[in-house]
Amino acid sequence: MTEQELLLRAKLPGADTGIEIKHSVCDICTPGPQCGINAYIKDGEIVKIEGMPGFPGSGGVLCTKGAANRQYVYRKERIKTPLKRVGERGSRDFVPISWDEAYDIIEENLSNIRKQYGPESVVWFTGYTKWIRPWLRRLCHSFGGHNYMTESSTCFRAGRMANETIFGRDARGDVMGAPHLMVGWGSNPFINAYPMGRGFVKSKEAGTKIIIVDVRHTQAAEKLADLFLQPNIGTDAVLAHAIANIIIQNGWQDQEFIDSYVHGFDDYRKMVSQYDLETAEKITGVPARDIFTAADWIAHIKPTQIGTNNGIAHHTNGFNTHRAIMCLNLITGNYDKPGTTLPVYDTFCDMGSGFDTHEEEFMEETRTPKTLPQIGEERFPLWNLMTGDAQAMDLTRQLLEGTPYKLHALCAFGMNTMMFPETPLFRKALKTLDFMMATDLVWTDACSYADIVLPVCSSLERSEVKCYPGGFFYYTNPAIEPLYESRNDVEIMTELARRLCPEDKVLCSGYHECIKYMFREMTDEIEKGHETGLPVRSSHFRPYIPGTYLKNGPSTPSGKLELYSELIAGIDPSYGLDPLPSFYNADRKSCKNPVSADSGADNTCIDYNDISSPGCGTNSSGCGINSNLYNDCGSFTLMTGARLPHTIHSRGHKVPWLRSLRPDPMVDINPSDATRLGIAQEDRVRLFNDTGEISVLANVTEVANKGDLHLIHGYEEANATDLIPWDHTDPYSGFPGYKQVRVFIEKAD
Amino acid sequence: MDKYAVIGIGCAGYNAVKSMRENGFIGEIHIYSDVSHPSANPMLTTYYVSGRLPREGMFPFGSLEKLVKDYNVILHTDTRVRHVNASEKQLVLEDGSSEVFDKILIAAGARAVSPPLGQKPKGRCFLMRSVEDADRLKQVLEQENISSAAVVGASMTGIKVTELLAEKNISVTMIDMADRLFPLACMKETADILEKDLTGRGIRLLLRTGVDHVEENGNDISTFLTDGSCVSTDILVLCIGTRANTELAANTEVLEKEPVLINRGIVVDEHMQTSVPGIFAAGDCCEALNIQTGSTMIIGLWANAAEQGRIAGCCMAADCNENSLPDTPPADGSPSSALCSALPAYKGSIPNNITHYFDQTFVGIGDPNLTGERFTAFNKSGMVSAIHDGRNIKCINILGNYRISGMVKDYLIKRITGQGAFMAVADMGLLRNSGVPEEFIQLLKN
Amino acid sequence: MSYKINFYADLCVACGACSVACMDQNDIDTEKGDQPYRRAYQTDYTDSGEKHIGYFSASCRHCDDAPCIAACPSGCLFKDPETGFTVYDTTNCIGCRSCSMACPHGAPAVASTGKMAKCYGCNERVKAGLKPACVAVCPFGALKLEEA
Repeated sequence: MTEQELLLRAKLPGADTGIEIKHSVCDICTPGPQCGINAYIKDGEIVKIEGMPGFPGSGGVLCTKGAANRQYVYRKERIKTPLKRVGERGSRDFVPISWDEAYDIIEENLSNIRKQYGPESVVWFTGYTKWIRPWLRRLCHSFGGHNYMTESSTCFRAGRMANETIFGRDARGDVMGAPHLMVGWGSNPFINAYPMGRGFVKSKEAGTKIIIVDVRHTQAAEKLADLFLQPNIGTDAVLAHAIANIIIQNGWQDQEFIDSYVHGFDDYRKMVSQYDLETAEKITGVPARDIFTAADWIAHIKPTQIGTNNGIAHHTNGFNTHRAIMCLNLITGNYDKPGTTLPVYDTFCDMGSGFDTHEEEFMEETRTPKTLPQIGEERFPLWNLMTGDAQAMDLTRQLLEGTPYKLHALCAFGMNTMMFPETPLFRKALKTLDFMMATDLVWTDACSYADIVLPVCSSLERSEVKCYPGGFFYYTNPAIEPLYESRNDVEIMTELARRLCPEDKVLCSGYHECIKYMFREMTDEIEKGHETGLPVRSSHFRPYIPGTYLKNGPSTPSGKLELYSELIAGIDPSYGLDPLPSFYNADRKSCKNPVSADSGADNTCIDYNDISSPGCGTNSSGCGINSNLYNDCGSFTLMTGARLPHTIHSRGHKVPWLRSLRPDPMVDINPSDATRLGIAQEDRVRLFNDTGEISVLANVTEVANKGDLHLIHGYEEANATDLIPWDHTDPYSGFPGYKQVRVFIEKAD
Repeated sequence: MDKYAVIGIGCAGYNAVKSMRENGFIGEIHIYSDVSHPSANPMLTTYYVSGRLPREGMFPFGSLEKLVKDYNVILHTDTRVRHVNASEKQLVLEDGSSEVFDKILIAAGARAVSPPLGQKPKGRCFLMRSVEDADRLKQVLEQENISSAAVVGASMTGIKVTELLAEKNISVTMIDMADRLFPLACMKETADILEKDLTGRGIRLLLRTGVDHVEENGNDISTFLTDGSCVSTDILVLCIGTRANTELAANTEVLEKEPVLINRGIVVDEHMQTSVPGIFAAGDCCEALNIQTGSTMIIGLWANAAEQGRIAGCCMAADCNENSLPDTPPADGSPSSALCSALPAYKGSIPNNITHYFDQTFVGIGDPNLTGERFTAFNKSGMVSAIHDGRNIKCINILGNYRISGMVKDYLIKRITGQGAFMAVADMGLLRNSGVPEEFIQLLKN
Repeated sequence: MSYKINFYADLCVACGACSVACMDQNDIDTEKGDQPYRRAYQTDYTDSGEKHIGYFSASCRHCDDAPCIAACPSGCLFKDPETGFTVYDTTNCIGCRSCSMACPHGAPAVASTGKMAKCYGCNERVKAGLKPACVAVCPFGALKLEEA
């Protein structure tokens, strides 16, 4: 090769090669990390991606997914033009149309439906990406509706709600405050949030002790844990209560803190007292001595930071489990002090950055009084009360049943049908719509159900504002022109606003003006930041000073930190929601093997009881949660959604580079279970229950506990949520029990 | 100033010269070659004939001018050495002239065997070893309309010749006395799979039968087989095997009537020195340690030749060499003890082959004719098969999953040489990740 | 000067960012079955009776005495004297896989082009003062470019 060819192969930027570096941002994952990108551009095309050195949080590196941005942007399935459905709903029979024609059709349909059935009959949904949420929420309100719902109906919001019932605000760990003990509960920060992982590593290097609690043997367990607890799936609350019980029985609680700031201690103490070590070991499968050690450390090491991640809330008892864990912070006085758990103050797009914006005002000021209940409100009142949004997990039911009222239109900005449990039923529900529009980067299953499909561009093709902890904001410029005829989502919303609610002058003014409206105290900084296209630390940054929040009194109903939630106590008792973070069994009551059901064999799982029932803990064959159950009835506990590093939800599955890292959908199974069932590595297996069936390959590994199976979601050819009943939901949050589903597994022929 | 001679400039000769210079030898190096072209690799000839390589591609070390320039050597091309007078370290050339050296390296290589056919390979009969062989076959394929060919020898060369002919839509008949393909590397069960694959591609395979004689009639050559049958084709290519060029040493006149020890090849010790001090041998003409059997044998592989050449060159360049020579070579003919512990030693090798043809890759490590238990596993990465006795692995065959071959060979050698008790977790994981069945990993590990 | 891309297993979680960065840098066509020059993987093992999971990232080690160089029948592989990386010119590569047979680390592969492909240390980037793509991307510092 010539010197020039070598330089080109190396993609070195410079005049020789004609390659220049442009700054942008990765928008593949959730807004948390979203790392700065250096895009190597040649002739208007991305030839290489690298992390942006010195970027807040990322420090210039990228994760597995982010490294694939080039292929993510140039994916073959990109939607190229606006499309109009000409075939059956659910088919891929579409024809290209112009943007004007597409807008006309959307406007006509939505106007008519609003006129005929009222604005509530139109649903506004947004999945990924999340940068558009303030705009869509306002658009829904300005349109006159209230049925704005997001992917957060199944993601992080339940955890946040749980925190809000306890602390009055969302909570975060203060890693910078040098905790002496960190408890990562259901936390594997190496995967999907590497800056957080690096925080853990740094703390460990500085001498912080670390407890990892996880149902899987994760990277965090291996690399971080001084103590690793691996409970049975869905029993984390019992573990938390047992720890609390040990602390209280031994008088190790921070009584002074409790007396000053905590509400409901007596009721809580009574509740946790039923979880002695023996009971807890039996239910959780965690050795009693490890539970005791955890309690000892949590009680005596200060400051301690006990945190959880989203997965905890993805059980049908997830909301209370999350509360049970976070309540340990209260009884040990580990809150609002350096190195403990701190309150969160949002800046923009669910990110706290240490300065204020008018985002809330922007989203809420056009909201009109409700005339009808929001979607999900009748089944999950706490959700609607706390979030103000509709709960997407009741959409399937309301579409199919038409109660309390019929829904006629759906505007879906980045919808993934596989997010909805019992996906085939959801697809059926989508067919009941009179009108549906969908926007997406690439063709998805949801697009097939839409009447109009609009192509949107990626983060590298647009301009947007991101905020980061430490007072940073980043106003990007496009690294390349939008591909094909794609436009950015907010452009589309702006046009819809001009046609459907022209009186909303702010929304009609476009993205940049809306940003200036929300960041109105810092427009000079915003303009300048936009011009440079580099991250800026705002002069408005005011770091949070621990202690401030408690001093001013928590914004809970009682004005204290609540072990007993007065907010929940205010919910109609007929919903049966417990103000205390009580444990209940989240497993399905029974499951019949649909294959051998006719054989007459009794293959029904033991209908185990909650632990207060007589006989529990004594019946060696039946009681206990999960453990040993599979031996009795042959079923396994499937946990869907355990992360792989190279994908988030379905977003990496069709990016060839990422897909190549694991070409086939695989279920993790413990070697002893695999041996018992005659399953070898990469054997094809069937997973099935009375809701559905999928076929995947076996990955035999100690990552999975005996009796457990783990499968990442979002594969079109092996959709994990096909196995989850549509109503397998948490009554507090409405969240699906993604992480705990009873299934059978067998080797396929 | 010392003066060294190198006979033959193949892979071993080239690497020896390179190594001499890299190890500080500044004296004269005389290279004797009976051809005029640079170091060629016999393995590349079929690729040249197939058109995948240009002619100069057969010479991996570049031109002779480059050799002279890089290593300051004195070239004697088209010069055949008649014999080596070991007592005087004297080369006698074909023209009768002679020259005395301080040390001599015999790196004369091997030549293709043309069995007693009653005629030399000429006309419609071809060999496949030398550049000249390749030129001849390429010429006939380009100039004539060849539609059928017989290939004698189901060897690594034979299969590559078969492949290149088949790809030119020539109907090929492969003939071998052995009962299987690759008889020195391939287990019977593996061969069955490969043979089925070959016949599926339209290759006619005649095993367990040798060539009796050949008759050429105009544009047609008839190969009469020992089983009484006859195959008539447009051309015949003989890929029967090679023989080490040992004659130089065989003719050697040695002081006290002790000749340079020769079995099938010239026997050398771990420093590539022959039984006569100061005379070294390396590459396809010599036998070196087979660590599986503990005795010497010819393992004619490019990588071995390179390594042996490197070691010979280094040992020849070393000052301590002369002083630490053993007084007399061991009488039993086994390789002599170390010249000097500081010198590099050839660690020995085991027979190993990797052959890629059509879309098949065959890997053979060790001796397939040893007895023992069989382990075989198929998966989507291919096949692995082993002959073992529970403790020792005698032979491994791999189909498809070529990428693990080096790791597998390395662990097999480590086990044979007693360093194999432990397998690094990283390597175990990489083998698993490469689709190697768990049972095979355990076999390799234990 | 001679460099090595050193791997620190204690910092690795086998996330595969290194593999993807390699694909991006080298335009690896995985749809044709080509693999990146660096592979990340995890594996179960036991140590003193305890169950563990090991995380690794493996590639060419750029051995000082690289056996692939001697094994290549076409002389495609050689050392870059400036960086010490084992680099190659595959113009005359015949795809024979002798390099694979020689390599104890499973590094060389034959790409869909029929030619050998393996890590070359991002040789030109390193000469230009940049890090190899895998080193630059690694979120946990498990890969480091260091002078040998």
